[in-house]
Amino acid sequence: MLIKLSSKWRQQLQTLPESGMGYQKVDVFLSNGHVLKGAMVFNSEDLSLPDSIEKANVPTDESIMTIKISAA
Amino acid sequence: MIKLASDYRTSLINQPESGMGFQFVEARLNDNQTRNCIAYNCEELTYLGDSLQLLFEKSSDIRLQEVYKAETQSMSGRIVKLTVVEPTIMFKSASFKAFGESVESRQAANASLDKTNENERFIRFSAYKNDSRITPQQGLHPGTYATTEDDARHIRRGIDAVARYALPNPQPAIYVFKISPPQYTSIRRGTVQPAYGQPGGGIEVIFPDGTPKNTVSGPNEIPR
Repeated sequence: MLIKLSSKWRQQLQTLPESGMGYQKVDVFLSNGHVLKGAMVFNSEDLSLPDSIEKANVPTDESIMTIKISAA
Repeated sequence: MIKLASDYRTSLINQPESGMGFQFVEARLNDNQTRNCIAYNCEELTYLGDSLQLLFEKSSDIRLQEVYKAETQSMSGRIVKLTVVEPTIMFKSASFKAFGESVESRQAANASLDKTNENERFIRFSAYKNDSRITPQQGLHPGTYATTEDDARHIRRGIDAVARYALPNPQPAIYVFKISPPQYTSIRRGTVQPAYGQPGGGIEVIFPDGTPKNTVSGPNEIPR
């Protein structure tokens, strides 16, 4: 599934390098302690999540603490 | 060119390609000498010598062409092993001329820093009309990927770009942006590695510092 990131995260991701043409591989740190590792973001705004993701770990604007370019 | 026997064909089929439809191959002969070669479709072999010059540049030196042809023919019946090798190992240099372009056999992120040439043009394929890597001032954000104008000629449809640039987004990259950076813009050049179920193989570049305003135009749209 794809979720739309807010303009706050979109602007932050625009300042970070791409991982390839049109995408960034990121780690998303959530307030519940969960980290989504190696998630794909397209166009700095569309976060791709596996369909099997637990509801509690689906990022929201409130639950995202930080997003970093993934080292993986 | 010489036609390879079926057991050598099988050997090459079980080894990776160096690019779409060809393999850079080291041929070991029965006197233990080795020859740099290129194999097409795992079945046709040509001697390359010490550089790619004969292969990728039009040579008017007929004698040189005849020497290479004779060398190729002389290998017939003498080959004991064929091994696919990295061209950087084969030619002992960090980069080599291929089809008129300098190509690193590794992805751009691992390439050394280079500078753009005068009037050098680049293309960015995107699934998004409002591509976020294009600044409001029509430049590129630092750390943005593109490809060369020459490599972009391989792309007819958006799904071609997905395959050639190994894009994880399955949506066809139908929006085409043209990039015209000033001379001496910082750039890293490389080859797209297979990833995300896509073959890659295209040329990729990164602009680590981005590009100034008014260097990006478009998008034009291509078929899906």
